[in-house]
Amino acid sequence: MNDPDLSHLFDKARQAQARTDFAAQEYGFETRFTAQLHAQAARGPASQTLIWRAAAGMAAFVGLLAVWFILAQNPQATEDDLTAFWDSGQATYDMEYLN
Amino acid sequence: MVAPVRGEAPDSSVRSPATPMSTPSPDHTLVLAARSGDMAAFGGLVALYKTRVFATAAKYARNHHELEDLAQDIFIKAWKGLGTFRGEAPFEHWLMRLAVRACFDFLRRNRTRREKEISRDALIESGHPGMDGIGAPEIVEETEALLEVRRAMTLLAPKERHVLTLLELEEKTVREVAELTGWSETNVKVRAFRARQSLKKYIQRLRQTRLSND
Repeated sequence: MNDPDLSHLFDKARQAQARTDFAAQEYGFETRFTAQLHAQAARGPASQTLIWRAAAGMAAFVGLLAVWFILAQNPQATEDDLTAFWDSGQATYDMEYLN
Repeated sequence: MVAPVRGEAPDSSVRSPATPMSTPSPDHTLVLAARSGDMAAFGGLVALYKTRVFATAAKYARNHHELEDLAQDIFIKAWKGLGTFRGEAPFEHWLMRLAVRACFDFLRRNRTRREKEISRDALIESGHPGMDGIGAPEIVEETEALLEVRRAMTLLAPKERHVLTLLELEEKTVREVAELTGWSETNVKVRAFRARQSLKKYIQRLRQTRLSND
């Protein structure tokens, strides 16, 4: 098969295609389609969307929990360090040295 | 999920540039209403453009179920994406660009399945004029040509099939195909060349198979 043959085949295919009629399928399509839109809107978000939203919410919650945990740990750690430093007696030594 | 496009004020810039301000296109009011979430108005747009959408989708679907599903998919995408329609081009252009992209997605999704189904083309085989050999010889011949082209095109890679459908069956120019697909013009030309080479090979193979079966 050469290029003109293929072009000729396409010409004939286009002619046949122009006669194709989908009136039966098109009939009432907009009614079926809008009914489907209404039904989907009434059902609310799809379960998949809800799962994604829940996952995002959960991730944000875990992130906040982690931040809070770190922030809550640090003052305690600092306080523990200061207590240990005081108990070691080094502070007394430093005070004497300074005086 | 179909999220209604709500909470957006009707955009006064939504108009067809092809028509002057004083005579807005017939779909202008419907587009504005649909953008604010009016499903009935969107139904009006579906009624206006369904024939064009069905004609495009029919070049990719192989039976009536696929055709209806694909048309629905296109209009659902249009409904969801209405918020992105800025009115710089006519609504029809925007919709058809979206339709072409949805058809390409459909081709890619169904590629594996359709390679096994080259013998069935229910969309054309059922009730197409000239299909049962009745009618003027040229009509019968043209219908057979359409079936042959469609059967061979199912064997092409999605990109090749897409480019040939747009160039040869929809009779778009290279520039139009480039705009619709987002490919460069050179890319379109190269793909079309390769697609035609492959198609010729597949048509010959199908003819040989048919001859040996007869």
